[in-house]
Amino acid sequence: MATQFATAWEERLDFDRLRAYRLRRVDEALAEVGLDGVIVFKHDNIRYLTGYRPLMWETGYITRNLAVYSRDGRPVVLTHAGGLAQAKLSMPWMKEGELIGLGSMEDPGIARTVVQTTIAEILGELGLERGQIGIDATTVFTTSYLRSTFRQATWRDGEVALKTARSIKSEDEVRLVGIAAEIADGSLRVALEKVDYDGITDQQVAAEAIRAAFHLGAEYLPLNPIVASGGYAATYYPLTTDRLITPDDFVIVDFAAIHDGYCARVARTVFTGRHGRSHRNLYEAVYGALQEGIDHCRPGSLATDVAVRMSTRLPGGNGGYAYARGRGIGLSVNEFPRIREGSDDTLVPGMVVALEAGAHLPGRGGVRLCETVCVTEGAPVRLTRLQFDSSLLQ
Amino acid sequence: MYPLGALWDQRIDFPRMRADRQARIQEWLAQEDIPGLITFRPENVSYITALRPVWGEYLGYLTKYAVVVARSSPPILFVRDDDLQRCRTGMPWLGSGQVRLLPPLDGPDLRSAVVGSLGAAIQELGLAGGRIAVDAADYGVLESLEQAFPKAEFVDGDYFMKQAKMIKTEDEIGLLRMACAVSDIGFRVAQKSIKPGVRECEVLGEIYRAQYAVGAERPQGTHIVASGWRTVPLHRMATDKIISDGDLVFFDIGVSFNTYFSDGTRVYVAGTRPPTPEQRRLHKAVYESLQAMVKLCRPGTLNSELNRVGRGVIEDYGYGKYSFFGLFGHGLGTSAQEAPVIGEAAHKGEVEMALAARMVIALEPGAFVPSVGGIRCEDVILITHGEPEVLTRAPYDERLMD
Repeated sequence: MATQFATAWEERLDFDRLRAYRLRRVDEALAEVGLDGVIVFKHDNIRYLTGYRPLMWETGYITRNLAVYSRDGRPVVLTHAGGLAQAKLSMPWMKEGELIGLGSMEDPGIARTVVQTTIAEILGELGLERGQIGIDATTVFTTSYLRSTFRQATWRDGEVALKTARSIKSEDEVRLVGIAAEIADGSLRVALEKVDYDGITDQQVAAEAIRAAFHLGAEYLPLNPIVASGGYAATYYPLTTDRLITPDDFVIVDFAAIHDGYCARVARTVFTGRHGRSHRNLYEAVYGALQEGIDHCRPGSLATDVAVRMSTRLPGGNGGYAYARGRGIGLSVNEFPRIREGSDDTLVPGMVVALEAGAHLPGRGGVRLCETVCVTEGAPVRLTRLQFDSSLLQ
Repeated sequence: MYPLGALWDQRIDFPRMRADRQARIQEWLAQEDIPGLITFRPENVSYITALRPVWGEYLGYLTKYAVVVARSSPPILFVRDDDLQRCRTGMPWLGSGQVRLLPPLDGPDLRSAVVGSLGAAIQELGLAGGRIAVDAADYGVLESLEQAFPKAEFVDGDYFMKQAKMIKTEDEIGLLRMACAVSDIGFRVAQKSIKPGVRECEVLGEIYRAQYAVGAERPQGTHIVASGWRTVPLHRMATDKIISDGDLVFFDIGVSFNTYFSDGTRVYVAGTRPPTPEQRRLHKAVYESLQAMVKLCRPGTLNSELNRVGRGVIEDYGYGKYSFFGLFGHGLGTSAQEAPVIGEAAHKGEVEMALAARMVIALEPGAFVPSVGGIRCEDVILITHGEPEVLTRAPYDERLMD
């Protein structure tokens, strides 16, 4: 699993098989809820349906690309206009007319034109104008143009169906998450080597890990790395700041990478001084919770039970914040199954989750550990495999 | 220039900035006669409350944050449980009751999650029977709101926000200057890194390292690093392609800093092999196009006029058919894609709009000529009552300039 690139001499990943698998999953999920088709705006949904790799614009996530799909048919992608020529050259699996340039739907005038011309033509060709059509997310002005232009159609949520489709990964998808996991592990290792109270800040540590990730072939980062030291580790702090690392800090490093669209996430915590019993107790509790969760990532496990079992290992009270949870991970880092208390998801083989456990005690510090794990017919498989700090486990 | 707080030096006045932005939202609500506003887009939540969002669209772009605002009331910020503690302690300018828990919006009980959180605020603020502007939402969330409040009318809040945000305050301009300086740092590192034999993705890593080390928060889009044949047509994603001596290398590397986005594009020549006369001529055409547009950046100029003039220069050089099939410019602020849109080529109908003082826009003419190369020149421009000011300062490659 350590290789990334296609070769003539060795069969590695079968991308045609991957694309076919994903479309089949979507067909099943749409049939299940009675949707005739979908219009999707979110990058990860477009990618799942078509293989199209969008330029990942944070603030253009729902406005610069879209895909239209009629169940059991072939998808059409509207790529942001500037990316059309590249898409046509590089996506031979799409036929003539299935790749179209899209104007910026940040502008309501352009959005109206897109709906009334291009989308109208596509829905007409696909015979969807009177259908049940799912939408994942879009601007409210685009929603109102769609509703007022296609009055015969029934508009519904499409996000849950897409998330359901995406929740069970094929062998090829798991291998891609595995490569992302290796990149995340490698980048996190670089970060941990930099952690010291020698004048480096949290954001400088993050910067070194980011550099490593792109050298290792990351496509992008699904979320910014979190480096949280000292007081920032003593609370759940999801950002990285200019704080200088000092002696006797817990330092949390949480890193996620994307390779070929697929994400993996890993988090580790280290201590910059001579840790005491209380530090080790905190670390061991969180480590125990994570291991408990990994052990229960088996077919038939209820997601809520996994979360509850993890939680029982964590310290409570004292004004702190402890958590044990997991999210499905694939083309995004927030998929099904939802591993949290009260979830009604059940684990099945092919699900991949990022499990997190953490405990933060104000004034004392905090620990977070995260692992990307695949549910199989047999024992759970850890895709991220970076060593834990053994000195904190004694 | 330096944005962080200092005891001994008045720099950016953050309290004033927060107050100014909230006042702007209130003015626009009054002007448009809208009683209530809900925003889910992090860039809009950030503008209204000064929240620094946890960027990461793949963690949930429209389901991590929300803000509910009513006329003459302070905004109510909703965040997920893992953001709650830091927002309650780190954002003292929001009073108690102004930071609330947003439950997960991906569960089977979506409707009750929406009603119990945002719905309670809608009731509390007396918004249930009137017009409520919403920027963008997951479809299931919008539907839940519509079903829970059948007497309310949910209308556009996205273009509403774009209009409200368009004119920048002095403090916002200060932050945009700094964000542009972080773009410039990236260009300097890019220029130093493109030694023949290095892969595109390694250069990308160096740029990100430099920008994140000084506090960059998120690229405006994945940075573009494209070399040689990958500049035409433009291949936006950096790959393992090895950069060769004489390659044109294309960089588009805007970032967010202190929640404001910059932009910018430069093309540099790798190694010691000089660019061809055709490449120099193409760069000249695109650079002159940019300069012609910048010259027009005065209050009253229409976005359509900027596009006509910018594309006109490229046509005059005979590159008309190779002119960029996409935008020639856009607004900047807490989003990398604010109003106005300038010169969209793929679909017509963009809102026509006149420039005004204190708008900040990126202008990015480009032309992509087979067997010559792809060139874009992009700067960030501040519109003033007088001469426009160019906020991005990194030099263009001298070997491509006259």
